[in-house]
Amino acid sequence: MEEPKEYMRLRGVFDTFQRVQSLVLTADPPETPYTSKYQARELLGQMVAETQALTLTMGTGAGAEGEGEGTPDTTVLKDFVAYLHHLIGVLAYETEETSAAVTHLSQSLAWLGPRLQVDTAALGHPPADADADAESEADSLPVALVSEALSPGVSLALAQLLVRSLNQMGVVWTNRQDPTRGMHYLKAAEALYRTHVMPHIEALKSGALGVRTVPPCGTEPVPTDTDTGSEGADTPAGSDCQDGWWLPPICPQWIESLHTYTVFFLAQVYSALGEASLAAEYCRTTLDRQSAQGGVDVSEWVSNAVDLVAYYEGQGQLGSVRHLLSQARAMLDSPSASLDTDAEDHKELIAKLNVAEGNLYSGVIAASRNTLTRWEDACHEARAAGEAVPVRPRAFVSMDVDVAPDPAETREGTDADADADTDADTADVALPPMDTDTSDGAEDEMPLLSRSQAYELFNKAYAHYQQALDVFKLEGFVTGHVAVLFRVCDAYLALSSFEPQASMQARLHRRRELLLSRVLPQLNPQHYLVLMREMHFRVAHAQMDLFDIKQERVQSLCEAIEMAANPEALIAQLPQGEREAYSKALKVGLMSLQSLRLFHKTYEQEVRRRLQRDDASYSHGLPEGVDDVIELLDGPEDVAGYLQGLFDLGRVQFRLPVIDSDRRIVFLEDAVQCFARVVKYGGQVTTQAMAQQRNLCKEMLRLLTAKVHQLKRIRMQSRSLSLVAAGTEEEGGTVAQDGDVDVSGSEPVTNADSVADSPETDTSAHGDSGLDAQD
Amino acid sequence: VAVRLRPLNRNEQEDAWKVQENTLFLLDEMTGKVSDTVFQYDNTYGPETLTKDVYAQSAKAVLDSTLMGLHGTIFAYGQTSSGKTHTMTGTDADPGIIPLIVSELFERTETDKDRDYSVRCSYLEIYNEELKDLLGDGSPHLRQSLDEGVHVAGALELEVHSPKEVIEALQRGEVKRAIGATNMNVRSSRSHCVFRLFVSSTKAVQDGKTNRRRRGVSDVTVRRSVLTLVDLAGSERQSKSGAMGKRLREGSCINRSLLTLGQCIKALVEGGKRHVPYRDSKLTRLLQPALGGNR
Repeated sequence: MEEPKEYMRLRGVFDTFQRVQSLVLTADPPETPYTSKYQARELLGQMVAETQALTLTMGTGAGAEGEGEGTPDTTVLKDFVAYLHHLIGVLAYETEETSAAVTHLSQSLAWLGPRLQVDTAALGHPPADADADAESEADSLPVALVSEALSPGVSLALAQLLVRSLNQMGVVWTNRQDPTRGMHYLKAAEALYRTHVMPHIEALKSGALGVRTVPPCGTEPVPTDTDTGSEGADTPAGSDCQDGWWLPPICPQWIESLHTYTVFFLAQVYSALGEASLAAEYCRTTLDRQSAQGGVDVSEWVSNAVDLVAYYEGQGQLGSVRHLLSQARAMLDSPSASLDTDAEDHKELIAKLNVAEGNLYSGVIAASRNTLTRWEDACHEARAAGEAVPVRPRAFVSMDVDVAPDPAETREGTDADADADTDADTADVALPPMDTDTSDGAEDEMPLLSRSQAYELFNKAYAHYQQALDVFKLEGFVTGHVAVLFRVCDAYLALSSFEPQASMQARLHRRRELLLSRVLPQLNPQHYLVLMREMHFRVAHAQMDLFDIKQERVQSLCEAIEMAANPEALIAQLPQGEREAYSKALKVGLMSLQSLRLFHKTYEQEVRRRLQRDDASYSHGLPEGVDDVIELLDGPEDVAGYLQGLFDLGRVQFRLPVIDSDRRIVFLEDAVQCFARVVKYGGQVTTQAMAQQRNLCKEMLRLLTAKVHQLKRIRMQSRSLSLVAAGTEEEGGTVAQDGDVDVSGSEPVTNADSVADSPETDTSAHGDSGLDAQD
Repeated sequence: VAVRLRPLNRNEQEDAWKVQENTLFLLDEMTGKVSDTVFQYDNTYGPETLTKDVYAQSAKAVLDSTLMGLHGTIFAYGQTSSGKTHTMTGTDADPGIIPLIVSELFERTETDKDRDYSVRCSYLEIYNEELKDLLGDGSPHLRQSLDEGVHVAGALELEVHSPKEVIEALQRGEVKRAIGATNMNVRSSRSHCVFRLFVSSTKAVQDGKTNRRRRGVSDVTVRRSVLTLVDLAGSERQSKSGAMGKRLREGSCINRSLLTLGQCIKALVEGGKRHVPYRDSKLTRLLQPALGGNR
């Protein structure tokens, strides 16, 4: 029987389709990268014109119903035209013609959407306030169940095409700086997968849908989106011209990969929208899907996993961190992973992985310390309220298991467990159970570690950090190297809270200090000013922690010095050991002061640079109308940092065990100025922590002003007595020096309240509030 | 920020924008009249403006700063075929910003009697997040040195003494550069090109009697600055939409460098301590000193 004329024309169209596929897969030379794609676009355009002409012919022909709509033949042809528009849209985008891409993809969606009862028209016009409630908006997208008019196989085939167009539109709009609109398309694709694809995947794989399936192409899970995939497809004449005759055979793995694309794009879109938790959730789903599907670029996967780990670590979700790191190591160790282990990029990736693993171990120590701190706080509050002290959290005696234990089992514990926090604990590493649940965003509560467990974890962390430092050398990776040092310092700090001996604690803090203070002089402030700022701050805090320990040892001595009329004599009478302890406490206190001042200096240098940049004639000092350098800092975050430094400066100077009364008064007056500046400028920072610090500073101002007043009176009286004594000696008599001195501290405060409470407190006359002439 | 409109090509039918002073007015698609959409910039240049005028008004000041010891960067940003390469490189008849700036640089260093100058140049390409040295054969890497901050290790820095030598170096680099062709314009870049001029100078010691410079004798203070000239790839896209497996957090399928550049600039403009994602792409990492100092 002679083939109908329309079918012959259609055969011609389909033959062109084969040429298109060949062109799309052609790798053009770099000099002319788009030549084949342009040719493919041109052919696709011709195919659209020819198929549309056929649609008209067939729509008005013998088989037509009404105006040509609804007949199987014309509907199928229109499906085909929609597909062609999709391909043109993708090619237009690949050849940098975004507006043409949008036009063609919209045409594809406009036909395919209604075919599957999806209102794609609404997607292109998100409401004006879409940003405000983007997530809920996307959830209510009108995606219907499979149309009963379509066979499941055709519905599935059309759904996968629609997902491809929706994905592409999501990418296009995100690239056009409209991630909200992009998100709407991608959420529709996600919903479509759930409603139209997921229920039929198993049936598809088993062949129950009657749809031709093909195995995945080699190890590549996803062909390029412009792959027409028509290999082996029937020509019109060879088929019964059923719905979807033109569709390529379906690869189940490909369909799954299309959804992986959707979640991958959603991760990026939510990231662009600032929705970190949603971005992380989709990121993890992508990684899990890639891992399950196989055939991924191992380096890329591990790199993404390490990035995601940083997010989970920040959220305290250490179970998730452990799960991802474990997967990453398994991927790297896989025999199928083809890696260039000598490549610089690979070495850096492994170094990053080592840092992440070090952070996990260090994070467990810190989290355990936080559990202990919370328990101690709860005990304190209970005691204050006269209530029963809560039960001590159970010690964690976990094996380094790969399977997540039953949460109920790990949480309940027994009385025996509660008493198990001894050094006799098992030496097995205590780690959080691996969290494989992508939706749980709760911070992991960490059971208590024993001292030996903490040390063991620390050693593991330290080994990983050392391996990272072997790659991230100071010269070449300055910020990367210092970032690892910061992590080592954090690990030392976390470990110190498990150390009962003060001398050992001091040793750990000293290491924190040395790690950074050795590097600091090597950095050029021209390039690393902000990095140096953080280093000075960390060094200062290590020194302050040391100061706390050393000062505690000489606490009673300090109190005696405070009360003594002749502190020098008191010191001279001390045994050698105590005198040395006192000197060390004073020395480390002074060192922390120096570090805090250097910390402040970095802000001042930055301000000076900015002033010089904006005004070439600027030389030094505060510009007219500016009372304090704080007023010139770059935003509330800088103000908060600077004020924290002032608070610390005030605190250290207040506690500094200085013998000389003149120096003591100078330090205390400086502390007063520090606290006054925090009170004055702390209002610019709206954090709760700053509000608390500010209140504390007001309180300190009252106390210190009184103390300065008292010390000055003592000094004055002491000098008067000395003068009298000198006069009396001349007359041959002696006078007791400390008989009449008031050291009760009960002298009424005259002006401290007004200083503390007044935000207008003028500190401009003080030297610390200005800019030095020198850098 | 300056905006330059190129003349319409034969595929384009009618103007979409009107330029007036420093303002761009969007023309209504239907009526051709000025619409309510208006954008203001530091400078705007219409199709009739010559590159030398763009240079004089927007680029020359950057050279002035460079000679004063400050880092400077000029980059051209826009869609493929919008004329970035024309503006930056130009032609023999209508030289671009780079040849103009190079020409004036040497003119001024030669006539400056107070300082002794030396100039080096490097030419790099960033393609698919990989650095390529267009002047040498090494494999460059971005590194941080203790003294210099962010720098490119392994890239050839050629000492140059005249505009001719610089242009020759540029031409040598052009040969290695990936050039793509599109149907909108036969010559269109697919990679970022970063041309850097390292200018260092020392104060020259004057001979009091003759008032002539005694070359080679100077004080120890060296003024160093880098003038970076960037010809960015088309802002539409660089990689295939389906490219899977790139880093998730940055939006890989979207021009990563350009996206990050946009984010960095936005964060810098907004000020405060908002995180500036310099490290997220090679381009922004390289431009970090120029964009935001050591933040």
